[in-house]
Amino acid sequence: VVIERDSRVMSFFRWDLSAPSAPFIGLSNYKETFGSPLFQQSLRDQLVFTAATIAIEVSAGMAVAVLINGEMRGPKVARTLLLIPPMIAPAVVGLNFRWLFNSQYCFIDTLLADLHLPAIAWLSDPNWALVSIVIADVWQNTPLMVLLFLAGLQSLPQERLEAAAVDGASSWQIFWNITLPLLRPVVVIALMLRIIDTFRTFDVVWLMTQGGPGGATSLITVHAYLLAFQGVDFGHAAAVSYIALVISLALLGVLYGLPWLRDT
Amino acid sequence: MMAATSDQGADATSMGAPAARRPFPIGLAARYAVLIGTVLLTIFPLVWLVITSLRIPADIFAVPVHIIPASVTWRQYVNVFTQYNLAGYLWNTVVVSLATVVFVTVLAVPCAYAMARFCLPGHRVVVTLLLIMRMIPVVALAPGLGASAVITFLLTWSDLLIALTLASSENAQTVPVGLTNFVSQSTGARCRRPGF
Repeated sequence: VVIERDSRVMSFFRWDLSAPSAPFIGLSNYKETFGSPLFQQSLRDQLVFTAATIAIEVSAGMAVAVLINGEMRGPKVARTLLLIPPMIAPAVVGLNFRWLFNSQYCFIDTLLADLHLPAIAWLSDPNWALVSIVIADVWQNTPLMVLLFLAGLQSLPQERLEAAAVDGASSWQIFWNITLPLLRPVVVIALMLRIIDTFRTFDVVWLMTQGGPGGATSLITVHAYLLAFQGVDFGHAAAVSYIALVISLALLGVLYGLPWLRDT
Repeated sequence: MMAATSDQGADATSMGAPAARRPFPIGLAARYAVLIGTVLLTIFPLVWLVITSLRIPADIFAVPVHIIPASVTWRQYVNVFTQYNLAGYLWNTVVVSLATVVFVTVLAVPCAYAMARFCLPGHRVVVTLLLIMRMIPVVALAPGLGASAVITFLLTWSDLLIALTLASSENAQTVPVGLTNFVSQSTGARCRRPGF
Protein backbone atom coordinates (compact mmCIF):
# COMPACT_ATOMS: atom_id res chain seq x y z
CA VAL A 1 0.00 0.00 0.00
CA VAL A 2 2.83 2.35 0.89
CA ILE A 3 4.65 1.52 -2.31
CA GLU A 4 1.49 2.04 -4.29
CA ARG A 5 1.11 5.55 -2.98
CA ASP A 6 4.81 6.24 -3.55
CA SER A 7 4.70 5.07 -7.13
CA ARG A 8 1.75 7.35 -7.77
CA VAL A 9 3.67 10.25 -6.29
CA MET A 10 6.63 9.40 -8.49
CA SER A 11 4.58 8.97 -11.60
CA PHE A 12 2.80 12.27 -10.99
CA PHE A 13 6.13 13.89 -10.38
CA ARG A 14 7.45 12.51 -13.60
CA TRP A 15 4.32 13.34 -15.47
CA ASP A 16 4.49 16.97 -14.36
CA LEU A 17 8.12 17.24 -15.34
CA SER A 18 7.72 15.91 -18.85
CA ALA A 19 4.41 17.58 -19.63
CA PRO A 20 5.79 20.82 -21.09
CA SER A 21 8.15 19.08 -23.49
CA ALA A 22 6.08 16.04 -24.42
CA PRO A 23 2.93 16.97 -26.30
CA PHE A 24 1.42 13.46 -26.32
CA ILE A 25 1.60 13.15 -22.53
CA GLY A 26 -2.02 14.20 -22.44
CA LEU A 27 -2.95 10.76 -23.78
CA SER A 28 -1.60 9.21 -20.62
CA ASN A 29 -4.56 8.04 -18.61
CA TYR A 30 -2.90 5.99 -15.87
CA LYS A 31 -5.08 3.04 -16.71
CA GLU A 32 -2.32 0.81 -15.37
CA THR A 33 -1.80 1.04 -11.64
CA PHE A 34 0.90 -0.43 -9.50
CA GLY A 35 -1.40 -3.26 -8.50
CA SER A 36 -2.00 -4.19 -12.12
CA PRO A 37 -1.59 -7.89 -12.89
CA LEU A 38 0.69 -6.96 -15.79
CA PHE A 39 3.13 -5.23 -13.50
CA GLN A 40 3.03 -8.05 -10.95
CA GLN A 41 3.73 -10.53 -13.70
CA SER A 42 6.56 -8.35 -14.98
CA LEU A 43 8.07 -8.19 -11.51
CA ARG A 44 7.81 -11.95 -11.12
CA ASP A 45 9.43 -12.48 -14.54
CA GLN A 46 12.18 -10.08 -13.59
CA LEU A 47 12.95 -11.72 -10.26
CA VAL A 48 12.92 -15.23 -11.75
CA PHE A 49 15.16 -14.03 -14.57
CA THR A 50 17.56 -12.27 -12.20
CA ALA A 51 17.76 -15.17 -9.75
CA ALA A 52 18.14 -17.85 -12.44
CA THR A 53 20.74 -16.04 -14.55
CA ILE A 54 22.85 -14.94 -11.61
CA ALA A 55 22.77 -18.36 -9.94
CA ILE A 56 23.78 -20.13 -13.16
CA GLU A 57 26.31 -17.57 -14.34
CA VAL A 58 28.14 -17.16 -11.05
CA SER A 59 28.27 -20.85 -10.14
CA ALA A 60 29.09 -22.04 -13.65
CA GLY A 61 31.59 -19.24 -14.10
CA MET A 62 33.28 -20.13 -10.82
CA ALA A 63 33.34 -23.84 -11.64
CA VAL A 64 34.86 -23.33 -15.07
CA ALA A 65 37.35 -20.76 -13.79
CA VAL A 66 38.57 -23.04 -10.99
CA LEU A 67 38.85 -25.99 -13.36
CA ILE A 68 40.75 -24.22 -16.12
CA ASN A 69 42.94 -22.20 -13.77
CA GLY A 70 46.54 -23.34 -13.63
CA GLU A 71 49.23 -24.41 -15.97
CA MET A 72 47.38 -25.39 -19.10
CA ARG A 73 48.21 -24.81 -22.70
CA GLY A 74 45.76 -22.77 -24.70
CA PRO A 75 44.03 -20.60 -22.08
CA LYS A 76 45.16 -17.46 -23.89
CA VAL A 77 43.30 -18.48 -27.02
CA ALA A 78 40.38 -19.58 -24.84
CA ARG A 79 40.40 -16.26 -23.01
CA THR A 80 40.25 -14.36 -26.27
CA LEU A 81 37.36 -16.50 -27.48
CA LEU A 82 35.55 -16.09 -24.16
CA LEU A 83 35.80 -12.32 -24.54
CA ILE A 84 33.67 -12.42 -27.67
CA PRO A 85 30.16 -12.99 -26.23
CA PRO A 86 30.30 -10.17 -23.68
CA MET A 87 31.49 -7.82 -26.42
CA ILE A 88 28.76 -8.62 -28.92
CA ALA A 89 25.82 -6.25 -29.13
CA PRO A 90 22.95 -7.78 -27.10
CA ALA A 91 20.67 -7.14 -30.07
CA VAL A 92 22.81 -9.51 -32.13
CA VAL A 93 22.64 -12.10 -29.36
CA GLY A 94 18.88 -11.76 -29.24
CA LEU A 95 18.56 -12.10 -33.00
CA ASN A 96 20.85 -15.11 -33.09
CA PHE A 97 19.11 -16.94 -30.27
CA ARG A 98 15.71 -16.16 -31.70
CA TRP A 99 16.95 -17.90 -34.80
CA LEU A 100 18.50 -20.81 -32.91
CA PHE A 101 15.27 -21.36 -31.00
CA ASN A 102 13.13 -21.12 -34.10
CA SER A 103 10.95 -24.19 -34.07
CA GLN A 104 10.79 -24.88 -37.76
CA TYR A 105 14.06 -24.07 -39.39
CA CYS A 106 16.67 -24.30 -36.81
CA PHE A 107 19.40 -26.24 -35.25
CA ILE A 108 18.20 -26.89 -31.74
CA ASP A 109 14.99 -28.58 -32.82
CA THR A 110 16.87 -30.68 -35.35
CA LEU A 111 19.20 -31.72 -32.57
CA LEU A 112 16.31 -32.60 -30.26
CA ALA A 113 14.69 -34.63 -33.03
CA ASP A 114 17.94 -36.49 -33.67
CA LEU A 115 18.13 -37.34 -29.99
CA HIS A 116 14.49 -38.53 -30.12
CA LEU A 117 13.44 -35.88 -27.66
CA PRO A 118 10.11 -34.12 -28.02
CA ALA A 119 10.18 -30.78 -29.78
CA ILE A 120 9.98 -27.74 -27.54
CA ALA A 121 8.01 -24.64 -28.46
CA TRP A 122 10.85 -22.47 -27.17
CA LEU A 123 9.55 -19.00 -27.81
CA SER A 124 5.79 -19.60 -27.88
CA ASP A 125 5.41 -21.55 -24.64
CA PRO A 126 5.39 -19.11 -21.70
CA ASN A 127 7.70 -21.16 -19.46
CA TRP A 128 10.11 -22.13 -22.21
CA ALA A 129 10.25 -18.55 -23.43
CA LEU A 130 11.58 -17.52 -20.04
CA VAL A 131 14.04 -20.41 -20.17
CA SER A 132 15.11 -19.27 -23.64
CA ILE A 133 15.98 -15.74 -22.58
CA VAL A 134 17.79 -17.12 -19.52
CA ILE A 135 19.84 -19.36 -21.83
CA ALA A 136 20.68 -16.43 -24.10
CA ASP A 137 21.73 -14.28 -21.14
CA VAL A 138 23.74 -17.12 -19.61
CA TRP A 139 25.47 -17.64 -22.93
CA GLN A 140 26.40 -14.00 -23.19
CA ASN A 141 27.49 -13.34 -19.62
CA THR A 142 28.94 -16.55 -18.20
CA PRO A 143 32.24 -16.03 -20.10
CA LEU A 144 32.57 -12.67 -18.37
CA MET A 145 32.17 -14.39 -15.00
CA VAL A 146 34.79 -16.97 -15.98
CA LEU A 147 37.25 -14.23 -16.90
CA LEU A 148 36.50 -12.25 -13.74
CA PHE A 149 37.03 -15.28 -11.51
CA LEU A 150 40.12 -16.37 -13.44
CA ALA A 151 41.65 -12.95 -12.89
CA GLY A 152 40.74 -13.23 -9.22
CA LEU A 153 42.16 -16.75 -8.91
CA GLN A 154 45.42 -15.71 -10.47
CA SER A 155 45.90 -12.89 -8.00
CA LEU A 156 45.47 -15.18 -4.97
CA PRO A 157 48.49 -15.76 -2.72
CA GLN A 158 49.78 -19.13 -3.87
CA GLU A 159 51.60 -19.84 -0.57
CA ARG A 160 48.39 -20.34 1.37
CA LEU A 161 46.99 -22.73 -1.21
CA GLU A 162 50.23 -24.65 -1.28
CA ALA A 163 50.45 -24.71 2.50
CA ALA A 164 46.94 -26.16 2.70
CA ALA A 165 47.81 -28.74 0.07
CA VAL A 166 50.93 -29.70 2.02
CA ASP A 167 48.82 -30.09 5.14
CA GLY A 168 46.73 -32.62 3.28
CA ALA A 169 43.55 -30.63 2.70
CA SER A 170 41.36 -32.01 -0.08
CA SER A 171 40.81 -29.86 -3.15
CA TRP A 172 37.20 -29.31 -2.09
CA GLN A 173 38.32 -28.16 1.36
CA ILE A 174 40.88 -25.83 -0.20
CA PHE A 175 38.28 -24.34 -2.49
CA TRP A 176 35.62 -23.95 0.19
CA ASN A 177 37.83 -22.72 3.05
CA ILE A 178 40.58 -20.76 1.31
CA THR A 179 39.90 -19.96 -2.33
CA LEU A 180 36.30 -18.87 -1.99
CA PRO A 181 36.79 -16.61 1.07
CA LEU A 182 39.79 -14.99 -0.62
CA LEU A 183 37.70 -14.44 -3.74
CA ARG A 184 34.96 -12.61 -1.85
CA PRO A 185 35.70 -9.18 -3.35
CA VAL A 186 35.53 -10.60 -6.86
CA VAL A 187 32.32 -12.48 -6.09
CA VAL A 188 30.75 -9.30 -4.71
CA ILE A 189 31.75 -7.37 -7.83
CA ALA A 190 30.38 -10.14 -10.04
CA LEU A 191 27.06 -10.22 -8.17
CA MET A 192 26.76 -6.44 -8.25
CA LEU A 193 27.50 -6.23 -11.95
CA ARG A 194 24.96 -8.93 -12.71
CA ILE A 195 22.22 -7.52 -10.48
CA ILE A 196 22.61 -4.12 -12.11
CA ASP A 197 22.74 -5.67 -15.57
CA THR A 198 19.77 -7.99 -15.23
CA PHE A 199 17.58 -5.10 -14.18
CA ARG A 200 18.65 -3.31 -17.35
CA THR A 201 18.32 -6.24 -19.73
CA PHE A 202 16.25 -5.21 -22.70
CA ASP A 203 17.79 -5.87 -26.09
CA VAL A 204 17.99 -9.66 -25.95
CA VAL A 205 14.41 -10.00 -24.72
CA TRP A 206 13.08 -7.44 -27.16
CA LEU A 207 14.65 -9.24 -30.12
CA MET A 208 13.65 -12.71 -28.94
CA THR A 209 10.15 -12.39 -27.56
CA GLN A 210 9.17 -8.73 -27.19
CA GLY A 211 8.02 -9.64 -23.71
CA GLY A 212 5.65 -12.36 -24.85
CA PRO A 213 4.06 -14.77 -25.09
CA GLY A 214 1.37 -13.29 -22.94
CA GLY A 215 3.85 -11.26 -20.89
CA ALA A 216 5.82 -14.34 -19.84
CA THR A 217 9.13 -12.62 -20.52
CA SER A 218 8.19 -9.00 -19.92
CA LEU A 219 11.09 -7.94 -17.76
CA ILE A 220 10.81 -4.58 -16.02
CA THR A 221 12.47 -2.68 -18.87
CA VAL A 222 10.30 -4.36 -21.48
CA HIS A 223 7.17 -3.66 -19.45
CA ALA A 224 8.15 -0.01 -19.04
CA TYR A 225 8.99 0.28 -22.73
CA LEU A 226 5.67 -1.25 -23.76
CA LEU A 227 3.81 1.00 -21.34
CA ALA A 228 5.57 4.06 -22.64
CA PHE A 229 5.54 3.38 -26.36
CA GLN A 230 2.56 1.11 -26.87
CA GLY A 231 0.33 2.39 -24.10
CA VAL A 232 1.69 5.95 -24.35
CA ASP A 233 1.51 5.85 -20.57
CA PHE A 234 4.69 7.70 -19.69
CA GLY A 235 3.70 8.48 -16.15
CA HIS A 236 3.24 4.85 -15.29
CA ALA A 237 6.27 3.74 -17.29
CA ALA A 238 8.37 6.15 -15.24
CA ALA A 239 6.90 4.77 -12.04
CA VAL A 240 7.72 1.22 -13.11
CA SER A 241 11.30 2.28 -13.86
CA TYR A 242 11.69 3.91 -10.47
CA ILE A 243 10.32 0.86 -8.68
CA ALA A 244 12.78 -1.33 -10.58
CA LEU A 245 15.62 0.98 -9.60
CA VAL A 246 14.62 0.85 -5.93
CA ILE A 247 14.39 -2.95 -6.04
CA SER A 248 17.82 -3.36 -7.59
CA LEU A 249 19.31 -0.89 -5.11
CA ALA A 250 17.65 -2.84 -2.29
CA LEU A 251 19.19 -6.06 -3.63
CA LEU A 252 22.60 -4.37 -3.66
CA GLY A 253 21.95 -3.23 -0.10
CA VAL A 254 21.10 -6.78 0.95
CA LEU A 255 24.27 -7.92 -0.78
CA TYR A 256 26.31 -5.52 1.32
CA GLY A 257 24.48 -6.50 4.47
CA LEU A 258 25.22 -10.21 4.18
CA PRO A 259 27.70 -11.16 6.92
CA TRP A 260 29.70 -13.33 4.56
CA LEU A 261 30.30 -10.39 2.27
CA ARG A 262 30.55 -7.56 4.77
CA ASP A 263 34.29 -7.73 5.44
CA THR A 264 35.18 -6.82 1.87
CA MET B 1 71.45 -38.66 14.15
CA MET B 2 72.45 -36.37 11.31
CA ALA B 3 71.33 -38.88 8.73
CA ALA B 4 67.94 -39.30 10.37
CA THR B 5 67.27 -35.54 10.33
CA SER B 6 68.13 -35.14 6.69
CA ASP B 7 66.01 -38.18 5.85
CA GLN B 8 63.01 -36.61 7.52
CA GLY B 9 63.60 -33.39 5.62
CA ALA B 10 63.78 -35.24 2.33
CA ASP B 11 60.59 -37.09 3.18
CA ALA B 12 58.69 -33.90 3.89
CA THR B 13 59.64 -32.30 0.58
CA SER B 14 58.95 -35.42 -1.45
CA MET B 15 55.49 -35.68 0.10
CA GLY B 16 54.74 -31.98 -0.19
CA ALA B 17 55.98 -31.31 -3.70
CA PRO B 18 53.39 -33.18 -5.80
CA ALA B 19 50.49 -31.89 -3.72
CA ALA B 20 51.72 -28.31 -4.03
CA ARG B 21 52.11 -28.63 -7.76
CA ARG B 22 48.52 -29.78 -8.14
CA PRO B 23 46.22 -27.92 -5.72
CA PHE B 24 43.21 -29.35 -7.58
CA PRO B 25 44.14 -32.92 -8.36
CA ILE B 26 41.53 -33.46 -11.03
CA GLY B 27 42.77 -35.14 -14.15
CA LEU B 28 44.30 -32.73 -16.60
CA ALA B 29 42.25 -34.35 -19.34
CA ALA B 30 39.03 -33.52 -17.52
CA ARG B 31 40.14 -29.92 -17.16
CA TYR B 32 40.92 -29.72 -20.85
CA ALA B 33 37.49 -31.19 -21.53
CA VAL B 34 35.91 -28.41 -19.48
CA LEU B 35 38.00 -25.79 -21.26
CA ILE B 36 37.23 -27.09 -24.72
CA GLY B 37 33.57 -27.64 -23.89
CA THR B 38 33.20 -24.08 -22.61
CA VAL B 39 34.90 -22.64 -25.67
CA LEU B 40 32.78 -24.76 -28.02
CA LEU B 41 29.55 -23.72 -26.30
CA THR B 42 30.75 -20.15 -26.47
CA ILE B 43 31.62 -20.04 -30.14
CA PHE B 44 28.94 -22.36 -31.54
CA PRO B 45 26.15 -19.75 -31.73
CA LEU B 46 28.62 -17.37 -33.38
CA VAL B 47 29.62 -19.95 -35.94
CA TRP B 48 25.95 -20.65 -36.57
CA LEU B 49 25.35 -16.93 -37.10
CA VAL B 50 28.14 -16.75 -39.66
CA ILE B 51 27.01 -19.94 -41.43
CA THR B 52 23.44 -18.63 -41.63
CA SER B 53 24.66 -15.36 -43.09
CA LEU B 54 26.40 -17.28 -45.88
CA ARG B 55 23.50 -19.58 -46.77
CA ILE B 56 21.35 -19.02 -49.81
CA PRO B 57 17.79 -18.12 -48.72
CA ALA B 58 16.37 -21.49 -49.78
CA ASP B 59 18.86 -23.26 -47.50
CA ILE B 60 18.06 -21.05 -44.53
CA PHE B 61 14.49 -22.30 -44.50
CA ALA B 62 15.31 -25.86 -45.56
CA VAL B 63 13.96 -28.72 -43.45
CA PRO B 64 15.85 -30.72 -42.23
CA VAL B 65 18.65 -28.37 -41.34
CA HIS B 66 22.07 -29.06 -42.84
CA ILE B 67 24.81 -27.79 -40.60
CA ILE B 68 27.30 -27.37 -43.44
CA PRO B 69 25.64 -25.38 -46.21
CA ALA B 70 25.62 -26.99 -49.65
CA SER B 71 26.25 -23.69 -51.38
CA VAL B 72 27.62 -20.44 -50.07
CA THR B 73 26.76 -16.90 -51.06
CA TRP B 74 28.10 -13.47 -50.19
CA ARG B 75 25.03 -11.76 -51.58
CA GLN B 76 23.51 -11.02 -48.19
CA TYR B 77 26.56 -9.01 -47.24
CA VAL B 78 26.06 -6.90 -50.34
CA ASN B 79 22.31 -6.67 -49.87
CA VAL B 80 22.50 -5.13 -46.41
CA PHE B 81 24.32 -2.23 -48.01
CA THR B 82 22.24 -1.94 -51.17
CA GLN B 83 18.72 -2.90 -50.01
CA TYR B 84 18.98 -1.72 -46.43
CA ASN B 85 20.75 1.41 -45.36
CA LEU B 86 23.50 -0.32 -43.38
CA ALA B 87 26.10 2.31 -44.22
CA GLY B 88 23.81 4.93 -42.69
CA TYR B 89 23.25 2.84 -39.56
CA LEU B 90 26.99 2.27 -39.22
CA TRP B 91 27.74 5.95 -39.64
CA ASN B 92 25.16 6.89 -36.99
CA THR B 93 26.62 4.29 -34.63
CA VAL B 94 30.13 5.59 -35.13
CA VAL B 95 29.04 9.19 -34.52
CA VAL B 96 27.04 8.33 -31.40
CA SER B 97 29.76 6.08 -30.01
CA LEU B 98 32.61 8.50 -30.60
CA ALA B 99 30.67 11.46 -29.22
CA THR B 100 29.79 9.42 -26.13
CA VAL B 101 33.39 8.38 -25.62
CA VAL B 102 34.56 11.98 -25.85
CA PHE B 103 31.94 13.31 -23.44
CA VAL B 104 32.26 10.44 -20.97
CA THR B 105 36.03 10.77 -20.88
CA VAL B 106 35.95 14.54 -20.55
CA LEU B 107 33.43 14.28 -17.70
CA ALA B 108 34.91 11.24 -15.98
CA VAL B 109 38.56 12.24 -15.84
CA PRO B 110 38.10 15.34 -13.62
CA CYS B 111 35.72 13.35 -11.43
CA ALA B 112 38.23 10.54 -11.03
CA TYR B 113 40.95 13.06 -10.30
CA ALA B 114 38.86 14.76 -7.63
CA MET B 115 37.98 11.43 -6.05
CA ALA B 116 41.59 10.39 -5.99
CA ARG B 117 42.95 13.67 -4.59
CA PHE B 118 40.38 14.81 -2.04
CA CYS B 119 38.33 13.02 0.58
CA LEU B 120 34.86 14.37 -0.07
CA PRO B 121 31.56 13.48 1.62
CA GLY B 122 30.09 10.38 0.00
CA HIS B 123 33.59 9.34 -0.89
CA ARG B 124 32.99 5.69 0.01
CA VAL B 125 29.95 5.36 -2.23
CA VAL B 126 31.69 6.83 -5.23
CA VAL B 127 34.82 4.80 -4.57
CA THR B 128 32.68 1.67 -4.49
CA LEU B 129 31.28 2.61 -7.87
CA LEU B 130 34.77 3.35 -9.14
CA LEU B 131 35.77 -0.08 -7.90
CA ILE B 132 33.23 -1.60 -10.27
CA MET B 133 34.70 0.48 -13.07
CA ARG B 134 38.15 -0.68 -12.15
CA MET B 135 37.12 -4.33 -12.23
CA ILE B 136 36.13 -4.15 -15.86
CA PRO B 137 39.57 -3.17 -17.15
CA VAL B 138 40.97 -6.13 -15.19
CA VAL B 139 38.77 -8.32 -17.34
CA ALA B 140 39.82 -6.60 -20.50
CA LEU B 141 43.43 -7.00 -19.30
CA ALA B 142 44.21 -3.41 -20.23
CA PRO B 143 43.70 -0.97 -17.36
CA GLY B 144 43.54 2.78 -17.65
CA LEU B 145 42.01 5.55 -19.62
CA GLY B 146 42.22 3.75 -22.94
CA ALA B 147 40.30 0.77 -21.58
CA SER B 148 37.58 3.01 -20.16
CA ALA B 149 37.22 4.65 -23.54
CA VAL B 150 37.08 1.28 -25.29
CA ILE B 151 34.43 -0.03 -22.91
CA THR B 152 32.34 3.10 -23.24
CA PHE B 153 32.61 2.77 -26.99
CA LEU B 154 31.52 -0.88 -26.93
CA LEU B 155 28.58 -0.21 -24.61
CA THR B 156 27.40 2.68 -26.73
CA TRP B 157 27.97 0.78 -29.91
CA SER B 158 25.71 -2.03 -28.82
CA ASP B 159 23.07 -0.04 -26.99
CA LEU B 160 19.55 -0.61 -28.25
CA LEU B 161 17.16 0.76 -25.65
CA ILE B 162 18.26 4.39 -25.66
CA ALA B 163 18.70 4.46 -29.42
CA LEU B 164 15.34 2.79 -29.99
CA THR B 165 13.65 5.23 -27.67
CA LEU B 166 15.23 8.46 -28.85
CA ALA B 167 15.89 7.92 -32.55
CA SER B 168 12.51 8.16 -34.20
CA SER B 169 13.66 9.03 -37.73
CA GLU B 170 15.58 6.48 -39.73
CA ASN B 171 18.29 9.04 -40.38
CA ALA B 172 19.33 8.90 -36.75
CA GLN B 173 19.11 5.17 -36.09
CA THR B 174 22.10 3.08 -35.04
CA VAL B 175 23.01 -0.47 -36.03
CA PRO B 176 21.14 -2.26 -33.20
CA VAL B 177 17.99 -0.34 -34.12
CA GLY B 178 18.53 -1.13 -37.78
CA LEU B 179 18.96 -4.76 -36.84
CA THR B 180 15.65 -4.71 -35.01
CA ASN B 181 14.08 -3.23 -38.11
CA PHE B 182 15.58 -5.96 -40.32
CA VAL B 183 13.96 -8.55 -38.10
CA SER B 184 10.53 -7.01 -38.21
CA GLN B 185 10.81 -6.40 -41.96
CA SER B 186 12.14 -9.75 -43.12
CA THR B 187 12.31 -12.67 -40.70
CA GLY B 188 9.61 -11.16 -38.53
CA ALA B 189 7.03 -12.12 -41.09
CA ARG B 190 8.15 -15.73 -41.00
CA CYS B 191 9.02 -16.17 -37.36
CA ARG B 192 6.33 -16.40 -34.78
CA ARG B 193 5.66 -12.94 -33.62
CA PRO B 194 4.72 -13.28 -30.01
CA GLY B 195 1.58 -11.40 -29.24
CA PHE B 196 1.45 -9.22 -26.23
